[in-house]
Amino acid sequence: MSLSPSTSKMLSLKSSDGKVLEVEEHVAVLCETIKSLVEDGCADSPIPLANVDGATLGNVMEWCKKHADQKASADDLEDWDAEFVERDQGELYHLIMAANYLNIKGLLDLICQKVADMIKGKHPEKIREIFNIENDFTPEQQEQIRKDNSWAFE
Amino acid sequence: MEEPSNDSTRVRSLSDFPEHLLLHILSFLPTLDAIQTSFVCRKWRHLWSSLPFLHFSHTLFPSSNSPSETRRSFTDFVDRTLILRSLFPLLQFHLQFDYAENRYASHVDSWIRYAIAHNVLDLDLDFFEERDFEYYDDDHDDDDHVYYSFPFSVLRNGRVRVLKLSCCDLSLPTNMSVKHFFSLRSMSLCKIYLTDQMVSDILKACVNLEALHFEHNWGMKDVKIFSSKLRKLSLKGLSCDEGSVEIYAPNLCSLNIVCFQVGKYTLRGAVSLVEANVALPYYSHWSKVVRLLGHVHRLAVGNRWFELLASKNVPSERFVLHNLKFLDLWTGYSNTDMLGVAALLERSPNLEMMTINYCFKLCIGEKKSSAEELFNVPINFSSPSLREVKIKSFKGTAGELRFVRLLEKQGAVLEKIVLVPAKGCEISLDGLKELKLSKDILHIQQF
Repeated sequence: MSLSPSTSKMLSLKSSDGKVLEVEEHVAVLCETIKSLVEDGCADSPIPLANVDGATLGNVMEWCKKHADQKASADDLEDWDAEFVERDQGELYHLIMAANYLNIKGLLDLICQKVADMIKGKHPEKIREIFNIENDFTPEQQEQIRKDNSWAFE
Repeated sequence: MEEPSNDSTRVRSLSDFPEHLLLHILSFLPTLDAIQTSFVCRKWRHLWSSLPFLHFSHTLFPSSNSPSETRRSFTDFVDRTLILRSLFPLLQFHLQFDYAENRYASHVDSWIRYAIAHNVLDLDLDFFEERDFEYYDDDHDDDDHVYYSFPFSVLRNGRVRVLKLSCCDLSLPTNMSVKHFFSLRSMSLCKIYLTDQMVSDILKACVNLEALHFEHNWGMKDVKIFSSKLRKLSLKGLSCDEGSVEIYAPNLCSLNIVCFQVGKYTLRGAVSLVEANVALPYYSHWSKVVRLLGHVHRLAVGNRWFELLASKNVPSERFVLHNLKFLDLWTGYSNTDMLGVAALLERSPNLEMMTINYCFKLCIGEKKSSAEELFNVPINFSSPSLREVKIKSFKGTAGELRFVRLLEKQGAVLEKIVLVPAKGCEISLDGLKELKLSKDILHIQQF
């Protein structure tokens, strides 16, 4: 392991709303985006993260910190992750956008799985309701889709 | 620096996500659910056809009047999905299908060929058996189970990196050992007939294999796992006391042995091994495996330590777990258990973190006599580097409280004892005051 906790230095991350967060390097490099900056030697000044707000960045780093912790066993992480995803939709969306932007595959998959679990087994009507999506089909279109997809439903 | 951006705060609804992220989310759904989302709104209408992951699950598929009818409509569903799917790349193909009738062989063949032709990376095929009720109707003989035969050679033309097979036959090419399957990195074989020859042929042919998992396969006796690139090995479920397992994998980092019971275990050249998990119900197997793991950093293991370290076969001064830093211990709280913990801690001078998982009676064949003889031996823990102990499923029993006191008594550098209450158990620090601990080290993990 090249970046051991004991030798890890601190990195400053600056969120879109101007908040600066100090994070240990071995934690921050779980974000592939930050890792490549570090590897290219471009990580000296506060790193501006224009697409992540301060609150979301805090949540992301909390996840990274846990997952960079060598003490945590696989079971621990699983329990911890299950707690971590218990959030409202807004927070989940921000986490997905941030995990995508910062390129953290583990976090992205975790949150996407959570959202998928919220969709699973539900009728389209219910999905629209839960996720606040407008039904923009005309009745004719709706009928057409029903025909197109009948193979999958009956 | 205030710059207007496509800020994450703009995402208010699931539909605001860019298409690639929506696809990523829908990829985690069973394919049937994913197709049903085309009714939600216009943006979602055609999304399903570009999904990079396909998950066909027979168990989640609506059942028809009879199991064989369900099988037919399930097969039809998979066929049509693959026909109507767009030409986007396919990364994952997961199929769970109650095969049971050979007339579906050509369908399954074509699905696999489709996946491989679309450069699938992750191929997971589970031909689970769900035959409880059907076989009464159809008057089949129970031993007459029909297995799909997986044509291993198709993998030569593809890019499959992760292969999982369950409940099927494995059809290897005749000259398997001289062929090369370069793409495979990870393989899991479960409930499959595998001879020793097949195992060694597979390992020879899959030259880049890094992870291997065997679970409840049969037909093996003297298993030889020789592999230069293997990093993770998991052996689960075998009972063959006249058999053996020999592992030679110089790059092996992680070893998992669960109910894999043979007469002889050999581990050669495992200089890279840092992590091991051992769950073996019988002491005879357990002790043979544990002795091979003297140099690991992280160990998850049952508590048979008293028996091991008291046994005459192990010169105790030689058996020290010098590198052990993280320990996951499955134990009860009886006297023998506590003596075992004491013996283990003594041999783990660099242990920093210990997690206790309660198990009522994992150990079979414990010698009662030795336990009674030693009933009055005073127990002392000594662990010079132990900083943190986590006790899972904590109920506050007398045994657990004694354990906490023993820990506290020895703890020169002990900083923290974290109690994780068992489900439905209310534990408060006030209630633990009677322990009269001198230091403020108790923590309760709340969920």
